[in-house]
Amino acid sequence: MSDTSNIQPFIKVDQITQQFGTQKVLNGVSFEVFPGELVALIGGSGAGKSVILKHLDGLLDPLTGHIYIDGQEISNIPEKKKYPMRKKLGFMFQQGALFDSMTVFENVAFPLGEAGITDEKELEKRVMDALASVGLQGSEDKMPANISGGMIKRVAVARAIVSDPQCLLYDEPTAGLDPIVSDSVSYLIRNICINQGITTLIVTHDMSSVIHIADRIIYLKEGTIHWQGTPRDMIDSPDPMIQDFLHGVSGEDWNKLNNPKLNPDFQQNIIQDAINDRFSTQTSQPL
Amino acid sequence: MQFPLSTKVGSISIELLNSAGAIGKLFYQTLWCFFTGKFRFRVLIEQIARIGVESQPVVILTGAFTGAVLEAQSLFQLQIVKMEAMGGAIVAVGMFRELGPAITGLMLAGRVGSAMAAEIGTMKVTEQIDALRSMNVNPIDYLVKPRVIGMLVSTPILMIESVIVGIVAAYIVGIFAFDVNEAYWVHFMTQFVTLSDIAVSIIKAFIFGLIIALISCSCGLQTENGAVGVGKSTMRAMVYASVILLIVNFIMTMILNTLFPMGFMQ
Repeated sequence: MSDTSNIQPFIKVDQITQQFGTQKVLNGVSFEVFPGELVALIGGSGAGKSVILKHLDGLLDPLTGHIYIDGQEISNIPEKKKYPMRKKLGFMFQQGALFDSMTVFENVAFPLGEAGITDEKELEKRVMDALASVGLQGSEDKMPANISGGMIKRVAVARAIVSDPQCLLYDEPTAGLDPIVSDSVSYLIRNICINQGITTLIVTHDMSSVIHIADRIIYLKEGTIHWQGTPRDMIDSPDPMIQDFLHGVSGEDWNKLNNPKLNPDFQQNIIQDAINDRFSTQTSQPL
Repeated sequence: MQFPLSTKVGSISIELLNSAGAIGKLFYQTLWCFFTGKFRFRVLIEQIARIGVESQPVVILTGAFTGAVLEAQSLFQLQIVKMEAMGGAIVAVGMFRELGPAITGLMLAGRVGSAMAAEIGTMKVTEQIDALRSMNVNPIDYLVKPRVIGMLVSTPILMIESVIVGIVAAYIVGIFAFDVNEAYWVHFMTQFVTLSDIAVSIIKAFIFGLIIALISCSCGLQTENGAVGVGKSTMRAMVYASVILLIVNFIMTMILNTLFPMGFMQ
Protein backbone atom coordinates (compact mmCIF):
# COMPACT_ATOMS: atom_id res chain seq x y z
CA MET A 1 0.00 0.00 0.00
CA SER A 2 1.25 3.45 -0.84
CA ASP A 3 1.42 6.37 1.60
CA THR A 4 -1.87 6.48 3.45
CA SER A 5 -1.23 9.43 5.75
CA ASN A 6 -3.70 11.71 3.92
CA ILE A 7 -6.35 9.08 3.22
CA GLN A 8 -9.26 8.54 5.56
CA PRO A 9 -9.46 4.89 6.59
CA PHE A 10 -12.57 3.02 5.52
CA ILE A 11 -12.44 0.95 8.69
CA LYS A 12 -11.04 2.39 11.88
CA VAL A 13 -10.91 0.28 15.02
CA ASP A 14 -9.95 2.24 18.09
CA GLN A 15 -8.93 0.48 21.29
CA ILE A 16 -11.84 -1.97 21.42
CA THR A 17 -12.22 -4.46 24.24
CA GLN A 18 -14.59 -7.39 24.58
CA GLN A 19 -15.22 -9.99 27.25
CA PHE A 20 -17.49 -13.07 27.24
CA GLY A 21 -18.15 -14.14 30.81
CA THR A 22 -14.80 -14.05 32.52
CA GLN A 23 -12.82 -14.54 29.32
CA LYS A 24 -11.23 -11.45 27.83
CA VAL A 25 -11.44 -11.82 24.07
CA LEU A 26 -10.26 -8.43 22.82
CA ASN A 27 -7.92 -6.27 24.81
CA GLY A 28 -7.44 -2.85 23.26
CA VAL A 29 -7.36 -3.67 19.55
CA SER A 30 -6.68 -0.80 17.15
CA PHE A 31 -6.10 -0.88 13.40
CA GLU A 32 -7.17 0.77 10.19
CA VAL A 33 -8.07 -0.49 6.74
CA PHE A 34 -7.81 1.96 3.87
CA PRO A 35 -10.05 2.15 0.78
CA GLY A 36 -9.21 -0.49 -1.82
CA GLU A 37 -6.83 -2.29 0.50
CA LEU A 38 -6.90 -6.04 1.11
CA VAL A 39 -5.96 -6.75 4.69
CA ALA A 40 -5.63 -10.21 6.21
CA LEU A 41 -6.32 -10.69 9.91
CA ILE A 42 -4.47 -13.75 11.11
CA GLY A 43 -3.86 -15.39 14.46
CA GLY A 44 -4.32 -18.59 16.38
CA SER A 45 -7.68 -20.14 17.13
CA GLY A 46 -9.50 -18.16 19.80
CA ALA A 47 -7.40 -15.05 19.22
CA GLY A 48 -10.55 -13.00 18.56
CA LYS A 49 -10.42 -12.61 14.77
CA SER A 50 -14.01 -13.57 13.98
CA VAL A 51 -15.18 -11.55 16.98
CA ILE A 52 -13.51 -8.48 15.47
CA LEU A 53 -15.31 -9.06 12.16
CA LYS A 54 -18.66 -9.25 13.95
CA HIS A 55 -17.85 -5.99 15.72
CA LEU A 56 -17.08 -4.34 12.37
CA ASP A 57 -20.53 -5.31 11.05
CA GLY A 58 -22.23 -4.13 14.23
CA LEU A 59 -23.32 -7.66 15.15
CA LEU A 60 -21.48 -7.23 18.45
CA ASP A 61 -20.78 -4.05 20.37
CA PRO A 62 -17.43 -3.59 22.12
CA LEU A 63 -17.32 -3.06 25.88
CA THR A 64 -15.06 -0.05 25.36
CA GLY A 65 -13.54 1.61 22.32
CA HIS A 66 -14.97 2.72 19.00
CA ILE A 67 -15.37 1.38 15.48
CA TYR A 68 -15.83 3.66 12.50
CA ILE A 69 -17.03 2.58 9.06
CA ASP A 70 -16.37 5.21 6.41
CA GLY A 71 -16.03 7.82 9.15
CA GLN A 72 -19.26 6.94 10.98
CA GLU A 73 -19.33 5.12 14.28
CA ILE A 74 -21.08 1.73 14.18
CA SER A 75 -20.40 0.60 17.75
CA ASN A 76 -22.83 0.99 20.65
CA ILE A 77 -25.58 2.67 18.68
CA PRO A 78 -29.19 1.47 18.21
CA GLU A 79 -29.65 -1.35 15.70
CA LYS A 80 -31.54 0.76 13.15
CA LYS A 81 -28.81 3.41 13.12
CA LYS A 82 -26.37 0.71 12.02
CA TYR A 83 -28.34 0.08 8.84
CA PRO A 84 -26.68 2.80 6.69
CA MET A 85 -23.20 1.55 7.64
CA ARG A 86 -24.12 -2.09 7.03
CA LYS A 87 -25.28 -1.20 3.52
CA LYS A 88 -21.65 -0.36 2.77
CA LEU A 89 -20.50 -3.76 4.02
CA GLY A 90 -20.79 -7.29 2.68
CA PHE A 91 -20.18 -10.16 5.09
CA MET A 92 -19.18 -13.68 4.14
CA PHE A 93 -19.64 -16.00 7.08
CA GLN A 94 -17.36 -18.89 7.92
CA GLN A 95 -19.74 -21.67 6.83
CA GLY A 96 -21.48 -19.50 4.25
CA ALA A 97 -24.63 -19.06 6.39
CA LEU A 98 -26.84 -19.67 3.36
CA PHE A 99 -30.54 -20.04 4.09
CA ASP A 100 -31.28 -23.76 3.81
CA SER A 101 -34.87 -23.31 2.67
CA MET A 102 -33.93 -21.14 -0.32
CA THR A 103 -32.33 -21.95 -3.65
CA VAL A 104 -28.99 -20.46 -4.67
CA PHE A 105 -30.85 -17.79 -6.66
CA GLU A 106 -33.14 -16.91 -3.76
CA ASN A 107 -30.19 -16.73 -1.37
CA VAL A 108 -28.34 -14.26 -3.59
CA ALA A 109 -31.53 -12.30 -4.33
CA PHE A 110 -32.45 -12.07 -0.65
CA PRO A 111 -30.49 -8.91 0.27
CA LEU A 112 -31.81 -7.16 -2.84
CA GLY A 113 -35.41 -8.03 -2.03
CA GLU A 114 -34.95 -6.86 1.54
CA ALA A 115 -33.38 -3.62 0.28
CA GLY A 116 -36.62 -2.95 -1.59
CA ILE A 117 -35.71 -3.95 -5.15
CA THR A 118 -38.95 -5.30 -6.55
CA ASP A 119 -38.32 -5.03 -10.30
CA GLU A 120 -37.93 -8.69 -11.22
CA LYS A 121 -35.83 -8.05 -14.31
CA GLU A 122 -33.34 -5.90 -12.44
CA LEU A 123 -33.25 -8.37 -9.58
CA GLU A 124 -32.63 -11.30 -11.90
CA LYS A 125 -29.92 -9.45 -13.82
CA ARG A 126 -28.06 -8.47 -10.68
CA VAL A 127 -28.28 -11.98 -9.21
CA MET A 128 -27.13 -13.59 -12.45
CA ASP A 129 -24.26 -11.10 -12.73
CA ALA A 130 -23.18 -11.84 -9.15
CA LEU A 131 -23.37 -15.59 -9.76
CA ALA A 132 -21.42 -15.21 -13.01
CA SER A 133 -18.70 -13.23 -11.25
CA VAL A 134 -18.12 -16.17 -8.90
CA GLY A 135 -18.37 -18.72 -11.71
CA LEU A 136 -21.69 -20.24 -10.69
CA GLN A 137 -23.84 -19.82 -13.78
CA GLY A 138 -26.33 -22.64 -14.06
CA SER A 139 -26.46 -23.38 -10.33
CA GLU A 140 -29.20 -20.93 -9.46
CA ASP A 141 -31.90 -23.56 -8.92
CA LYS A 142 -29.84 -25.79 -6.63
CA MET A 143 -30.42 -25.96 -2.90
CA PRO A 144 -27.53 -25.26 -0.50
CA ALA A 145 -27.71 -28.85 0.78
CA ASN A 146 -26.99 -30.12 -2.75
CA ILE A 147 -23.85 -28.12 -3.51
CA SER A 148 -20.24 -28.56 -2.43
CA GLY A 149 -18.44 -26.61 0.29
CA GLY A 150 -16.55 -24.59 -2.31
CA MET A 151 -19.77 -23.69 -4.10
CA ILE A 152 -21.40 -22.67 -0.82
CA LYS A 153 -18.52 -20.25 -0.21
CA ARG A 154 -18.90 -18.87 -3.74
CA VAL A 155 -22.65 -18.40 -3.29
CA ALA A 156 -21.92 -16.63 -0.01
CA VAL A 157 -19.47 -14.35 -1.84
CA ALA A 158 -22.09 -13.68 -4.54
CA ARG A 159 -24.64 -12.82 -1.84
CA ALA A 160 -22.11 -10.49 -0.20
CA ILE A 161 -21.27 -8.63 -3.43
CA VAL A 162 -24.73 -8.48 -5.02
CA SER A 163 -25.64 -5.30 -3.12
CA ASP A 164 -22.50 -3.53 -4.41
CA PRO A 165 -20.88 -2.99 -1.01
CA GLN A 166 -17.84 -0.76 -0.59
CA CYS A 167 -16.18 -3.21 1.76
CA LEU A 168 -16.20 -6.99 2.09
CA LEU A 169 -15.56 -8.89 5.29
CA TYR A 170 -14.60 -12.55 4.87
CA ASP A 171 -14.56 -14.95 7.82
CA GLU A 172 -12.24 -17.84 6.96
CA PRO A 173 -13.34 -18.12 3.33
CA THR A 174 -11.02 -21.03 2.56
CA ALA A 175 -11.56 -23.06 5.75
CA GLY A 176 -12.41 -26.69 5.05
CA LEU A 177 -11.69 -26.51 1.33
CA ASP A 178 -9.21 -28.58 -0.61
CA PRO A 179 -6.08 -26.71 -1.80
CA ILE A 180 -7.31 -26.25 -5.37
CA VAL A 181 -10.75 -24.89 -4.42
CA SER A 182 -9.09 -22.88 -1.67
CA ASP A 183 -6.79 -21.25 -4.23
CA SER A 184 -9.69 -20.48 -6.55
CA VAL A 185 -11.63 -18.83 -3.72
CA SER A 186 -8.54 -16.80 -2.77
CA TYR A 187 -8.09 -15.63 -6.36
CA LEU A 188 -11.77 -14.77 -6.52
CA ILE A 189 -11.45 -12.60 -3.42
CA ARG A 190 -8.39 -10.88 -4.81
CA ASN A 191 -10.02 -10.32 -8.21
CA ILE A 192 -13.16 -8.82 -6.66
CA CYS A 193 -10.98 -6.51 -4.57
CA ILE A 194 -8.94 -5.35 -7.58
CA ASN A 195 -11.62 -5.28 -10.27
CA GLN A 196 -14.32 -3.64 -8.21
CA GLY A 197 -12.05 -1.61 -5.93
CA ILE A 198 -13.69 -3.10 -2.84
CA THR A 199 -11.96 -2.69 0.49
CA THR A 200 -11.44 -6.16 1.88
CA LEU A 201 -10.73 -7.57 5.31
CA ILE A 202 -10.20 -11.31 5.45
CA VAL A 203 -9.87 -13.49 8.51
CA THR A 204 -7.97 -16.65 7.73
CA HIS A 205 -5.51 -19.29 8.86
CA ASP A 206 -4.50 -20.05 5.30
CA MET A 207 -1.00 -18.59 5.14
CA SER A 208 -0.47 -19.58 1.54
CA SER A 209 -3.56 -17.56 0.63
CA VAL A 210 -2.48 -14.64 2.81
CA ILE A 211 0.93 -14.41 1.18
CA HIS A 212 -0.72 -14.62 -2.25
CA ILE A 213 -3.43 -12.03 -1.92
CA ALA A 214 -2.97 -9.66 1.02
CA ASP A 215 -1.68 -6.10 0.81
CA ARG A 216 -1.18 -6.01 4.55
CA ILE A 217 -1.29 -8.56 7.34
CA ILE A 218 -2.37 -8.04 10.95
CA TYR A 219 -1.36 -10.71 13.43
CA LEU A 220 -3.63 -11.01 16.43
CA LYS A 221 -2.56 -12.77 19.58
CA GLU A 222 -4.63 -13.18 22.74
CA GLY A 223 -6.89 -10.27 21.91
CA THR A 224 -4.17 -7.78 21.03
CA ILE A 225 -2.39 -6.90 17.83
CA HIS A 226 1.02 -8.48 18.06
CA TRP A 227 2.35 -7.51 14.65
CA GLN A 228 1.34 -5.91 11.34
CA GLY A 229 3.04 -5.37 8.03
CA THR A 230 3.15 -6.41 4.38
CA PRO A 231 3.60 -10.02 3.25
CA ARG A 232 7.26 -9.15 2.47
CA ASP A 233 7.68 -7.74 6.00
CA MET A 234 6.21 -10.93 7.37
CA ILE A 235 8.60 -13.15 5.44
CA ASP A 236 11.52 -11.05 6.56
CA SER A 237 10.32 -10.68 10.14
CA PRO A 238 12.79 -11.92 12.75
CA ASP A 239 9.92 -12.43 15.22
CA PRO A 240 9.94 -16.18 15.99
CA MET A 241 6.17 -16.18 16.64
CA ILE A 242 5.54 -14.76 13.19
CA GLN A 243 7.89 -17.24 11.60
CA ASP A 244 6.27 -20.12 13.47
CA PHE A 245 2.82 -19.00 12.33
CA LEU A 246 4.04 -18.51 8.78
CA HIS A 247 5.54 -21.98 8.59
CA GLY A 248 2.78 -23.70 10.50
CA VAL A 249 4.75 -25.15 13.41
CA SER A 250 7.73 -24.08 15.47
CA GLY A 251 11.15 -25.42 14.53
CA GLU A 252 11.57 -26.54 18.10
CA ASP A 253 8.43 -28.67 17.84
CA TRP A 254 9.69 -30.31 14.64
CA ASN A 255 12.90 -31.22 16.37
CA LYS A 256 10.95 -32.70 19.26
CA LEU A 257 8.88 -34.80 16.89
CA ASN A 258 12.03 -36.26 15.34
CA ASN A 259 10.01 -38.64 13.21
CA PRO A 260 11.65 -39.49 9.90
CA LYS A 261 8.27 -40.42 8.45
CA LEU A 262 7.05 -36.86 8.89
CA ASN A 263 8.31 -34.35 6.43
CA PRO A 264 9.06 -31.06 8.21
CA ASP A 265 9.62 -29.33 4.89
CA PHE A 266 6.11 -29.91 3.65
CA GLN A 267 4.43 -26.83 5.09
CA GLN A 268 7.63 -24.86 4.45
CA ASN A 269 7.41 -25.80 0.78
CA ILE A 270 3.80 -24.67 0.44
CA ILE A 271 4.63 -21.29 1.92
CA GLN A 272 7.82 -21.05 -0.13
CA ASP A 273 5.80 -21.72 -3.29
CA ALA A 274 3.39 -18.96 -2.30
CA ILE A 275 6.29 -16.59 -1.65
CA ASN A 276 7.87 -17.46 -4.99
CA ASP A 277 4.55 -16.98 -6.79
CA ARG A 278 3.93 -13.65 -5.16
CA PHE A 279 7.36 -12.10 -5.35
CA SER A 280 9.13 -13.68 -8.31
CA THR A 281 7.62 -11.05 -10.61
CA GLN A 282 8.35 -8.23 -8.10
CA THR A 283 4.77 -7.11 -8.08
CA SER A 284 2.29 -6.91 -5.25
CA GLN A 285 -0.59 -7.92 -7.51
CA PRO A 286 0.36 -11.13 -9.28
CA LEU A 287 -3.18 -12.02 -10.27
CA MET B 1 -21.09 -26.63 54.40
CA GLN B 2 -22.68 -27.51 51.09
CA PHE B 3 -26.37 -27.46 50.16
CA PRO B 4 -26.53 -29.40 46.89
CA LEU B 5 -30.33 -29.53 46.87
CA SER B 6 -30.79 -25.83 47.55
CA THR B 7 -28.08 -25.03 44.99
CA LYS B 8 -29.88 -27.14 42.41
CA VAL B 9 -33.26 -25.58 43.22
CA GLY B 10 -31.65 -22.14 43.04
CA SER B 11 -30.02 -22.74 39.68
CA ILE B 12 -33.23 -24.20 38.22
CA SER B 13 -35.18 -21.21 39.54
CA ILE B 14 -32.71 -18.79 37.97
CA GLU B 15 -32.89 -20.66 34.67
CA LEU B 16 -36.69 -20.59 34.71
CA LEU B 17 -36.72 -16.88 35.55
CA ASN B 18 -34.21 -16.21 32.77
CA SER B 19 -36.37 -18.14 30.31
CA ALA B 20 -39.51 -16.33 31.48
CA GLY B 21 -37.72 -13.00 31.07
CA ALA B 22 -36.53 -13.96 27.58
CA ILE B 23 -40.04 -15.02 26.54
CA GLY B 24 -41.51 -11.79 27.93
CA LYS B 25 -38.91 -9.72 26.11
CA LEU B 26 -39.54 -11.63 22.89
CA PHE B 27 -43.30 -11.01 23.25
CA TYR B 28 -42.66 -7.27 23.59
CA GLN B 29 -40.24 -7.23 20.64
CA THR B 30 -42.67 -9.22 18.48
CA LEU B 31 -45.50 -6.87 19.39
CA TRP B 32 -43.25 -3.95 18.44
CA CYS B 33 -42.54 -5.59 15.08
CA PHE B 34 -46.29 -5.78 14.38
CA PHE B 35 -46.30 -1.99 14.21
CA THR B 36 -42.84 -1.19 12.89
CA GLY B 37 -41.81 -4.27 10.89
CA LYS B 38 -42.11 -5.27 7.29
CA PHE B 39 -45.03 -7.37 6.05
CA ARG B 40 -43.74 -10.43 4.17
CA PHE B 41 -46.78 -12.13 2.65
CA ARG B 42 -44.89 -15.11 1.23
CA VAL B 43 -43.14 -15.95 4.49
CA LEU B 44 -46.45 -15.72 6.36
CA ILE B 45 -48.23 -18.00 3.90
CA GLU B 46 -45.37 -20.50 4.17
CA GLN B 47 -45.74 -20.54 7.95
CA ILE B 48 -49.52 -20.92 7.86
CA ALA B 49 -49.11 -23.80 5.40
CA ARG B 50 -46.44 -25.44 7.52
CA ILE B 51 -48.26 -24.98 10.84
CA GLY B 52 -51.87 -25.22 9.74
CA VAL B 53 -52.10 -27.41 6.68
CA GLU B 54 -49.34 -29.88 7.51
CA SER B 55 -50.50 -30.34 11.10
CA GLN B 56 -54.01 -31.38 10.13
CA PRO B 57 -53.48 -35.16 9.97
CA VAL B 58 -52.01 -35.44 13.46
CA VAL B 59 -54.53 -33.05 15.01
CA ILE B 60 -57.49 -34.76 13.33
CA LEU B 61 -56.27 -38.20 14.32
CA THR B 62 -55.73 -37.28 17.97
CA GLY B 63 -59.04 -35.40 18.06
CA ALA B 64 -60.87 -38.40 16.66
CA PHE B 65 -59.46 -40.90 19.11
CA THR B 66 -59.83 -38.53 22.06
CA GLY B 67 -63.51 -38.07 21.23
CA ALA B 68 -63.97 -41.79 20.68
CA VAL B 69 -62.32 -42.87 23.92
CA LEU B 70 -64.11 -40.18 25.93
CA GLU B 71 -67.45 -41.34 24.53
CA ALA B 72 -66.66 -44.99 25.20
CA GLN B 73 -65.49 -44.33 28.77
CA SER B 74 -68.50 -42.11 29.47
CA LEU B 75 -70.89 -44.69 28.11
CA PHE B 76 -69.38 -47.46 30.26
CA GLN B 77 -70.32 -45.36 33.30
CA LEU B 78 -73.58 -43.89 31.95
CA GLN B 79 -74.91 -47.36 31.08
CA ILE B 80 -75.02 -48.11 34.79
CA VAL B 81 -77.46 -45.23 35.37
CA LYS B 82 -79.22 -45.62 31.99
CA MET B 83 -78.14 -42.20 30.78
CA GLU B 84 -76.30 -43.20 27.61
CA ALA B 85 -77.93 -40.41 25.63
CA MET B 86 -75.86 -37.89 27.62
CA GLY B 87 -72.64 -39.23 26.09
CA GLY B 88 -72.73 -36.74 23.23
CA ALA B 89 -73.17 -33.79 25.58
CA ILE B 90 -70.26 -34.88 27.75
CA VAL B 91 -67.97 -35.36 24.77
CA ALA B 92 -68.96 -32.13 23.02
CA VAL B 93 -68.66 -29.88 26.08
CA GLY B 94 -65.50 -31.65 27.20
CA MET B 95 -63.94 -31.40 23.77
CA PHE B 96 -64.81 -27.73 23.33
CA ARG B 97 -63.91 -26.54 26.80
CA GLU B 98 -60.89 -28.70 27.65
CA LEU B 99 -59.72 -31.54 25.50
CA GLY B 100 -59.90 -29.89 22.08
CA PRO B 101 -57.68 -26.90 22.93
CA ALA B 102 -55.39 -28.92 25.22
CA ILE B 103 -54.87 -31.87 22.86
CA THR B 104 -54.41 -29.56 19.86
CA GLY B 105 -51.99 -27.41 21.86
CA LEU B 106 -49.96 -30.41 23.01
CA MET B 107 -49.83 -31.83 19.49
CA LEU B 108 -48.70 -28.48 18.08
CA ALA B 109 -46.13 -28.07 20.87
CA GLY B 110 -44.69 -31.42 19.88
CA ARG B 111 -44.93 -31.15 16.14
CA VAL B 112 -44.65 -27.44 15.35
CA GLY B 113 -43.01 -26.00 18.48
CA SER B 114 -40.08 -28.40 18.42
CA ALA B 115 -39.64 -27.86 14.66
CA MET B 116 -39.61 -24.08 15.17
CA ALA B 117 -37.03 -24.31 17.95
CA ALA B 118 -34.87 -26.69 15.90
CA GLU B 119 -35.05 -24.56 12.75
CA ILE B 120 -34.32 -21.26 14.49
CA GLY B 121 -31.71 -22.93 16.69
CA THR B 122 -29.93 -24.34 13.64
CA MET B 123 -30.07 -20.91 12.02
CA LYS B 124 -28.53 -19.44 15.17
CA VAL B 125 -25.61 -21.88 15.40
CA THR B 126 -24.88 -21.72 11.66
CA GLU B 127 -24.77 -17.90 11.78
CA GLN B 128 -27.84 -17.53 9.54
CA ILE B 129 -29.39 -15.19 12.09
CA ASP B 130 -26.21 -13.09 12.09
CA ALA B 131 -26.42 -13.14 8.29
CA LEU B 132 -29.97 -11.76 8.49
CA ARG B 133 -28.80 -8.96 10.76
CA SER B 134 -25.83 -8.22 8.51
CA MET B 135 -28.36 -7.69 5.69
CA ASN B 136 -30.34 -5.26 7.88
CA VAL B 137 -33.12 -7.75 8.49
CA ASN B 138 -34.55 -7.89 12.00
CA PRO B 139 -34.59 -11.63 12.89
CA ILE B 140 -37.62 -11.20 15.14
CA ASP B 141 -39.54 -9.47 12.37
CA TYR B 142 -38.47 -12.06 9.80
CA LEU B 143 -38.56 -15.26 11.86
CA VAL B 144 -40.70 -14.81 14.95
CA LYS B 145 -43.52 -12.54 13.77
CA PRO B 146 -44.70 -14.79 10.90
CA ARG B 147 -44.57 -17.84 13.17
CA VAL B 148 -46.61 -16.11 15.85
CA ILE B 149 -49.20 -14.96 13.29
CA GLY B 150 -49.17 -18.42 11.71
CA MET B 151 -49.91 -20.01 15.09
CA LEU B 152 -52.60 -17.44 15.96
CA VAL B 153 -54.35 -18.14 12.66
CA SER B 154 -53.87 -21.91 12.58
CA THR B 155 -54.38 -23.05 16.17
CA PRO B 156 -58.07 -22.06 16.52
CA ILE B 157 -58.87 -23.59 13.11
CA LEU B 158 -57.05 -26.81 13.94
CA MET B 159 -58.70 -26.93 17.34
CA ILE B 160 -62.19 -26.56 15.82
CA GLU B 161 -61.33 -29.32 13.33
CA SER B 162 -60.12 -31.52 16.15
CA VAL B 163 -63.30 -30.95 18.19
CA ILE B 164 -65.62 -31.58 15.24
CA VAL B 165 -63.79 -34.77 14.30
CA GLY B 166 -63.84 -35.81 17.98
CA ILE B 167 -67.62 -35.33 18.17
CA VAL B 168 -68.11 -37.26 14.92
CA ALA B 169 -65.95 -40.09 16.29
CA ALA B 170 -67.97 -40.04 19.53
CA TYR B 171 -71.17 -40.19 17.48
CA ILE B 172 -69.92 -43.24 15.60
CA VAL B 173 -68.87 -44.98 18.81
CA GLY B 174 -72.10 -44.09 20.62
CA ILE B 175 -74.55 -44.89 17.85
CA PHE B 176 -72.87 -47.87 16.20
CA ALA B 177 -70.82 -49.50 18.97
CA PHE B 178 -73.08 -48.82 21.98
CA ASP B 179 -76.38 -48.61 20.12
CA VAL B 180 -77.40 -45.35 21.78
CA ASN B 181 -80.56 -43.63 20.53
CA GLU B 182 -79.37 -41.20 17.88
CA ALA B 183 -82.10 -38.60 18.32
CA TYR B 184 -81.54 -38.30 22.10
CA TRP B 185 -77.78 -38.29 21.67
CA VAL B 186 -77.92 -35.39 19.21
CA HIS B 187 -80.61 -33.58 21.18
CA PHE B 188 -78.64 -33.51 24.43
CA MET B 189 -75.45 -32.70 22.66
CA THR B 190 -76.92 -29.62 20.94
CA GLN B 191 -78.75 -28.58 24.08
CA PHE B 192 -75.66 -28.58 26.25
CA VAL B 193 -73.19 -27.03 23.81
CA THR B 194 -73.56 -23.24 23.79
CA LEU B 195 -71.75 -20.37 22.13
CA SER B 196 -69.86 -19.75 25.37
CA ASP B 197 -68.25 -23.21 25.04
CA ILE B 198 -67.06 -22.33 21.55
CA ALA B 199 -65.83 -18.92 22.76
CA VAL B 200 -63.85 -20.57 25.58
CA SER B 201 -62.23 -23.01 23.17
CA ILE B 202 -61.25 -20.30 20.67
CA ILE B 203 -59.82 -18.02 23.37
CA LYS B 204 -57.81 -20.93 24.75
CA ALA B 205 -56.57 -21.89 21.29
CA PHE B 206 -55.38 -18.32 20.61
CA ILE B 207 -53.49 -18.18 23.91
CA PHE B 208 -52.00 -21.65 23.42
CA GLY B 209 -50.87 -20.76 19.90
CA LEU B 210 -49.17 -17.63 21.21
CA ILE B 211 -47.51 -19.52 24.08
CA ILE B 212 -46.19 -22.29 21.82
CA ALA B 213 -44.83 -19.86 19.21
CA LEU B 214 -43.15 -17.56 21.75
CA ILE B 215 -41.60 -20.35 23.83
CA SER B 216 -40.36 -22.25 20.78
CA CYS B 217 -38.90 -19.20 19.06
CA SER B 218 -37.33 -18.02 22.32
CA CYS B 219 -35.69 -21.42 22.90
CA GLY B 220 -34.47 -21.40 19.29
CA LEU B 221 -33.00 -17.92 19.55
CA GLN B 222 -31.14 -18.83 22.74
CA THR B 223 -29.46 -21.87 21.18
CA GLU B 224 -25.73 -22.22 21.68
CA ASN B 225 -23.09 -24.93 21.28
CA GLY B 226 -23.85 -26.44 17.89
CA ALA B 227 -25.85 -29.62 17.32
CA VAL B 228 -26.01 -30.48 21.03
CA GLY B 229 -27.45 -27.05 21.71
CA VAL B 230 -30.06 -27.48 18.98
CA GLY B 231 -31.13 -30.78 20.55
CA LYS B 232 -31.41 -29.18 23.98
CA SER B 233 -33.38 -26.22 22.65
CA THR B 234 -35.79 -28.51 20.82
CA MET B 235 -36.36 -30.62 23.91
CA ARG B 236 -36.68 -27.52 26.11
CA ALA B 237 -39.17 -25.90 23.74
CA MET B 238 -41.41 -28.94 23.75
CA VAL B 239 -41.24 -29.52 27.50
CA TYR B 240 -41.67 -25.85 28.46
CA ALA B 241 -44.49 -25.31 25.99
CA SER B 242 -46.36 -28.46 27.07
CA VAL B 243 -46.00 -27.82 30.81
CA ILE B 244 -46.85 -24.12 30.61
CA LEU B 245 -49.75 -24.92 28.32
CA LEU B 246 -51.24 -27.29 30.90
CA ILE B 247 -50.71 -24.80 33.74
CA VAL B 248 -52.23 -21.96 31.72
CA ASN B 249 -55.08 -24.25 30.73
CA PHE B 250 -56.00 -24.74 34.37
CA ILE B 251 -55.79 -21.01 35.13
CA MET B 252 -57.85 -20.17 32.05
CA THR B 253 -60.44 -22.80 32.89
CA MET B 254 -60.95 -21.17 36.29
CA ILE B 255 -61.17 -17.67 34.82
CA LEU B 256 -63.18 -18.49 31.71
CA ASN B 257 -65.73 -20.57 33.58
CA THR B 258 -66.51 -17.42 35.56
CA LEU B 259 -66.70 -15.25 32.46
CA PHE B 260 -68.44 -17.84 30.27
CA PRO B 261 -70.39 -20.21 32.53
CA MET B 262 -71.37 -23.59 31.10
CA GLY B 263 -74.78 -23.91 29.45
CA PHE B 264 -76.64 -25.62 32.31
CA MET B 265 -75.16 -23.13 34.83
CA GLN B 266 -76.53 -20.09 33.01
